Amino acid sequence: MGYDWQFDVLSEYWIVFAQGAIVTAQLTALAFALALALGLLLAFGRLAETVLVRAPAAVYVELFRSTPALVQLVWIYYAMPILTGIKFNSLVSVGIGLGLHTAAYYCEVFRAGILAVERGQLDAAKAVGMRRSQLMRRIVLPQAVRQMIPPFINETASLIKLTTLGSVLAVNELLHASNNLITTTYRPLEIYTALAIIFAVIIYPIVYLSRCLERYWALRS
Amino acid sequence: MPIISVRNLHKRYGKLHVLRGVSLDVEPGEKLCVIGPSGSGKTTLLRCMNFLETYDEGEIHFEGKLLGYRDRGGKRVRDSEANIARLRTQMGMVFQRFHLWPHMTVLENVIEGPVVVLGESRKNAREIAGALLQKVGLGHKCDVYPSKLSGGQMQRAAIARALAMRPKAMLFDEPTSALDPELVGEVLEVMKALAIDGTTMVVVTHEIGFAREVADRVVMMDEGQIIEIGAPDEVLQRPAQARTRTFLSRVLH
Repeated sequence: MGYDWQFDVLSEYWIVFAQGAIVTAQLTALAFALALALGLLLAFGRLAETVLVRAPAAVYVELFRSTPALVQLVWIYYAMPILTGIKFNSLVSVGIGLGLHTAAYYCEVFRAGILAVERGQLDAAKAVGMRRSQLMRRIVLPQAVRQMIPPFINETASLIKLTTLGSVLAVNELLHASNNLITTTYRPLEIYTALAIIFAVIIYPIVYLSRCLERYWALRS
Repeated sequence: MPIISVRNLHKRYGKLHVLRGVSLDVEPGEKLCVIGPSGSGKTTLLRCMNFLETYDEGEIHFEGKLLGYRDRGGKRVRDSEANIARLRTQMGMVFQRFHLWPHMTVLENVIEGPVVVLGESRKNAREIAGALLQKVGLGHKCDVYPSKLSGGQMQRAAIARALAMRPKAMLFDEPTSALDPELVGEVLEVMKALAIDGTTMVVVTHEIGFAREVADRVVMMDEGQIIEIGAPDEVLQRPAQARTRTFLSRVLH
């Protein structure tokens, strides 16, 4: 295979990648913040004593987990404005869509982490007179967080990669910026290779950080 | 006035009727040992005493206050979280499986209740905790995480944690059942020292020797009821009930 790699296209158009990366970062930040807040709410919702809170949270999670993210994004961008009159630009639509999507997965990560804490731990906390909020803050969450970190990092890495779905709605994130660049330069191999490397460079440090945290906690318990 | 008063207590798990009308008074300073075969309801009774288990019928009073419930328009409803928590601070609980908090050092485990629940200063709580850990023979293990302790050490730390709340009564749920045989002695020694100090203690146990030596009264439970109660040399030496005799012959051999 005598393909003639021409990587100088990358140095020439690096600004396109930089701009794409900024949009990817914006999408990630918006979706992450929404997913984190909503995921926590959903997790406590699913753990609530009253079924009136538990059931809607469960329905939400199962609905978002059983439909494709791409369909959710397209629905929010094209269908929601018709049904509700609420319309966001494509960047915000994708950010919200991915946030709603990831919230369902975060919820399950948080819930599983909380449920993994042994019941006896709670008994011991109640026995010294802790209230539910103290017990959550002092005993359950510190232990649960350690269980949550690996799957949480997984879902977050997944979220960053899902931002490429924004290209379908013409959001100028990394993939869309790359596609545009290919139509003008005709160098898909170089550009897609660079794109893959950029994502790896963004995501690997996060994965590495989670491993460091796990090791740190293993030493302290 | 008894410090803990149990009247006609009933507890069901679905169809399983675990406690069938238990009545019992614990006097201040009294050492009470509860024995009986597994499934007889003794752990459930103990857990009801600080409301880790709810109960379906009957009453438990702690220093004259109804535990866990209050009256609302003639109907019994669950008491507020704050009231239940406040009553629990006055009882120390020691569990079969210790349940130390693994993300805290031994000292942090002991000061957690006083600092977080009672609002004591860390400095003050540390001093008291240090002395308590000294007392249970763990003065040198303050800054160690629980996973580095033996079972006997964990249980002694758990006893120190319960004592740090300065409870009016201590509840022990089979405190030596999860221990290797050679570690049982060190925990029983600590409990004997507490007994000598005059601590009110309710101990669910299979350690008949401990009951004989320490208890003021022994309670024998079977099938959710108290079938015999009295001084240790009555219940343990001359049991009136055939079921008590059968049980004792099984544990002692």
